[in-house]
Amino acid sequence: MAYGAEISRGNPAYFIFLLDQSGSMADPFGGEAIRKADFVADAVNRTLHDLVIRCTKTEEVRHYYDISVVGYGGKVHSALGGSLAGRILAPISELADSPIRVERRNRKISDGAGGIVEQQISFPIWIDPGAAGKTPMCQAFELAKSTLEQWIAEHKTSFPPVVLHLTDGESTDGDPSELAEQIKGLATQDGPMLFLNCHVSSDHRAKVEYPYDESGLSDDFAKLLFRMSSPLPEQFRSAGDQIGLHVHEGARGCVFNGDPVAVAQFFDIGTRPANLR
Amino acid sequence: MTQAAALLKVGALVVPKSGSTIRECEDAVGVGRGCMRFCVADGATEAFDSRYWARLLTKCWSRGTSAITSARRFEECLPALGDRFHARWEGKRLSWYSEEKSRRGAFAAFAGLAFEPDGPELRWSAAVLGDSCLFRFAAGGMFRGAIPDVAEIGSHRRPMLIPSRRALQSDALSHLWFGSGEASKGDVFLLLTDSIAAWYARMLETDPQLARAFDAIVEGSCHAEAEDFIHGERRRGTLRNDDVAAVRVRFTDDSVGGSSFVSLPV
Repeated sequence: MAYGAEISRGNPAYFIFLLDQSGSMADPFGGEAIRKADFVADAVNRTLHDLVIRCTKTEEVRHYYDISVVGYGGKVHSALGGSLAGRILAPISELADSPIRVERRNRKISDGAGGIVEQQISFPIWIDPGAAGKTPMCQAFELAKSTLEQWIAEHKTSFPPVVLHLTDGESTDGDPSELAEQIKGLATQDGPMLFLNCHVSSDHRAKVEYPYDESGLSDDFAKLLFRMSSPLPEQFRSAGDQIGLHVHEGARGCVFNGDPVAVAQFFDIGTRPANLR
Repeated sequence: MTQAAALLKVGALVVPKSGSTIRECEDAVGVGRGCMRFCVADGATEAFDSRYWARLLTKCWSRGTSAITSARRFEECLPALGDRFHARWEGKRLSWYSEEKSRRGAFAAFAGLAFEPDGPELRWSAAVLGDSCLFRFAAGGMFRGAIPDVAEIGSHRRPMLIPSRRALQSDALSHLWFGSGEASKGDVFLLLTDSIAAWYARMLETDPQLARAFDAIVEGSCHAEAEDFIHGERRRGTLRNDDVAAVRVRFTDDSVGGSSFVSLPV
């Protein structure tokens, strides 16, 4: 059965975050006084934080995941900063010890007795926001494809890699459909890799989350994103159910006109394979 | 050892996941022969220092002095145990991720069994939380029931577990399953952690002989034989690659010897 591979130190999984960092990402997001680029960087840092915590065994972080964060806006580059700057791929164990900085933030948590208390937590920053230049989506897909090919050659039995692509607009360097098909065609022995796409929007049009056909999609770009996206395996759909989304069988890993909540949920659902050993 | 305790034949084993060492194993067993208290615990893989938490729970249970037959009784001893767990890390300089993970605390599934003399017979009581299980059999191998019910075994993706953090304990303990009854000569009690419990429940239905073979291995506490058997089942694809802990207690006619306390792994 596909997508059943155990994730272990000898058989890690791989997440690639592909982030649109073009100039339009400087626009405000969801009617709030925050730029799209700032929100997305925050969401990715939070997701990386959660992945590190998931791999933490007491005082050690186990190498259960490899991570890439690729930004594209003007140029295509690794968005990781600090001592990982320029590195396309980093094991989660190394990532854990190499944030650019660790900020202190407040978080509200349950006190276990029906109340809420505020707690100060460490919030590591691995990527800073970026918003400049055009949208070289095809170049970014090329880089993802070559990185994936190499990784899969070295991890034939691993859980298939997951690409989490986030953009706010159309490609400025050509039609990415063919490259997306080539990426989706890559597979480990555990199944085809998963290509998930999230479109973020500054306006207030209705969002579409995890559709199972394209008939209800309003425009050509939405249909393109739908076609580029992989069907969600059962454990990802069930992760959606757990956070209150009803994700149909056959649903694609695709969000259109995503608001801040949808973006946070997209990263949550997309990083759920948790058959950790 | 009391006369009643000498009538209990006890076997126990712990086998780590393939690819892990016994020192990385997060399952534990507690065997208190003298006080007739036995248990298994399964530390949650994604929680902080779950191995130590599972071991604390098994030690506490297997060295207890009275049966815990209600959530209230369990609640009396658990906060102090949780505090002891967290004291191990307080004041230590930790990385941001260890600090964050320790703040969330540890979690473990648990199944505990205790016996008390009741005339010439024994009375058993059990407390179970999460996906660890107790199976009961009469003399001759007749299945008497399980806690939780066999239909429940293996069905929970996110089972309720015993937390180390005080603030979370009351809610978790409200989900404890309890059971009690009279034990007769020949009765068998089998405590298992999640993956082996799911396997065992399936084998009772589909291949009882294999279940009997596993019983014999647990009763013999033969580690090498247990490893071979479990690795074989993993290779066959019938058993998930997970830590395994098992304790088997048989109420016999004859006195049997044995050590007073065992808490594995060490």
